[in-house]
Amino acid sequence: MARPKVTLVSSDGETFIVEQRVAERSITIKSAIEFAGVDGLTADIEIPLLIEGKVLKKVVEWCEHYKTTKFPEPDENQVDVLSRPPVLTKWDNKFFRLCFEQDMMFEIIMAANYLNINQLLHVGCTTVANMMKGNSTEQIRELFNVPNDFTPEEEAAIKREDRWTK
Amino acid sequence: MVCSVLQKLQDFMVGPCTTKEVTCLNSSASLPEIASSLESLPDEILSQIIDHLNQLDVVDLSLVNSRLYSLCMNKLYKRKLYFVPRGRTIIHRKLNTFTHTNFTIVNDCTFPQRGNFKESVIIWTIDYLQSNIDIYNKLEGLDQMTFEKFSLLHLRLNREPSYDFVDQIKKMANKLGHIRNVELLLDEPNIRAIHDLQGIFTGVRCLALRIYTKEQFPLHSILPLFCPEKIQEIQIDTDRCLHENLINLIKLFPNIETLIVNSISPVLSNESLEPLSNTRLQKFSLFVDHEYAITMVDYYIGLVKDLLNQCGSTLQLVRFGMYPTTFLEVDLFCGPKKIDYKEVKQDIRNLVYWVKERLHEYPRLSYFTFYNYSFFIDRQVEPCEWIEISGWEL
Repeated sequence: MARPKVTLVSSDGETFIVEQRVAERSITIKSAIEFAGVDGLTADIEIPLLIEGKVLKKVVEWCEHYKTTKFPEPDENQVDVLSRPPVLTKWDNKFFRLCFEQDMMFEIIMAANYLNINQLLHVGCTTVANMMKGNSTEQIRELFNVPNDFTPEEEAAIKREDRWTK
Repeated sequence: MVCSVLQKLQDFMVGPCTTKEVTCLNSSASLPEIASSLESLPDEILSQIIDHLNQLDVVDLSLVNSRLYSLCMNKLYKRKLYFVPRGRTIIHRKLNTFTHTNFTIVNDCTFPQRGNFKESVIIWTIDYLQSNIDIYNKLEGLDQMTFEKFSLLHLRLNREPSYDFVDQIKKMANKLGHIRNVELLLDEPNIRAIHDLQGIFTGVRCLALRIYTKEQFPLHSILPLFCPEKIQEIQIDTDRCLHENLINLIKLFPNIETLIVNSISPVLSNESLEPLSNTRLQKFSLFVDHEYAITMVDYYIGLVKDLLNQCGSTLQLVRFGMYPTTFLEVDLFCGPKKIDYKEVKQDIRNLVYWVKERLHEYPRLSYFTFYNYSFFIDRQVEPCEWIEISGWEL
């Protein structure tokens, strides 16, 4: 008997048929599946999601790639700041670089947050942080298209205030 | 079937999930916002991103706009401070080590003049303070701040804590319950003062003891300061022997997982090691500092081996280290920090070949140390390649 399939339906009607283990990379979906069938999935199901098709496609791609990877469980006893950041693989780098070029990186991070896919969220945040590293304020504004809402006086005051950090 | 499942799943059609727990939200939950720019990310995600940056990058990011400024200040001032009054820590844009990204490094003795620590999560250490006066002043300063959410994780008490200082600690006892790591320097006056601190460090998991007593120090005498069942890691530095032998030491702390003993003198030879069972010990490290250490390798490893045998198969030797002989030690301590390899060549050669011959006995042995230098053991290559010294063949 074939294993039940999970169909993820995007907000714009696009469907993605995936294995259960791929879908269950998302804690939110996993909970939904468990809620639907306490004794395990016995039939195919459709799960409507509030994510655009193009974004969901990338999320599914990530989940497919890591469907067999066992990520370390977060240690509840460990203080959050002491936990190590996730290691970015070459594949992750390429994946997010492409997403950035396609203007989808932040949507994927939001989707990871929405679907509770911790590893994808962490990798996304790490990627954005890596893009910021070593850049000046002006370069960051330009890279991420963020307007400056400080007055020159405010900016000067902050610079003075933060001198001790250097 | 699909219909009924869909009906059930209506509750799972959710908006942006802001917590890590799965949250059942009703179907009227809002759609996830389209996040096509950095600015559209919610604060909690931006904060996660900022957590990966060192303080110099955080400062640059804080100047981008007012919202990022607010989030960046949260990291700079309200979390993870690291005070290094002596011995400046390098802060560099390209340094993204664990410390640099997780802590704001303050390279002086004064607090930043913001006084806004009320939501502080962690001040990592009141550390590297060379006298109790410094500590006293620091604690006094800290005491003036609001501590509701303040969690001090690491505390180092240095030599000569005065009774005033102990009083100060006692006054702050209710604020010190979060301390997980304590480093204590124990000499005679210090021990007398510290005994007044009973029951204060009950949350401690990791304990470092620097023992400078003239006589054997009974470790069990300071147990009332802690909750021994909670302690998982102990590091002991002493140039004397302990009152307890290693096995008894492990027994005092039933949940100990890591035991590191530095500089223990060879006084264990006549002690009978009692059988040890049910230990959780997973890592044991013995670092020898003795004038004849280099000639007593087999003796020391015998001690370790006895302990390994007693502790069962889960405990395995992963490191063996030693200082050079006294003569060389003097040179090394007084001179530049680099080892003069010509001076210690024979010692290292002995050690390397001693290690090589015993590799099969210790499958987990992966590095050894000489003085403060660690050398990785690559079992695939000859020992002469373990240490990179040009023109020098072992």
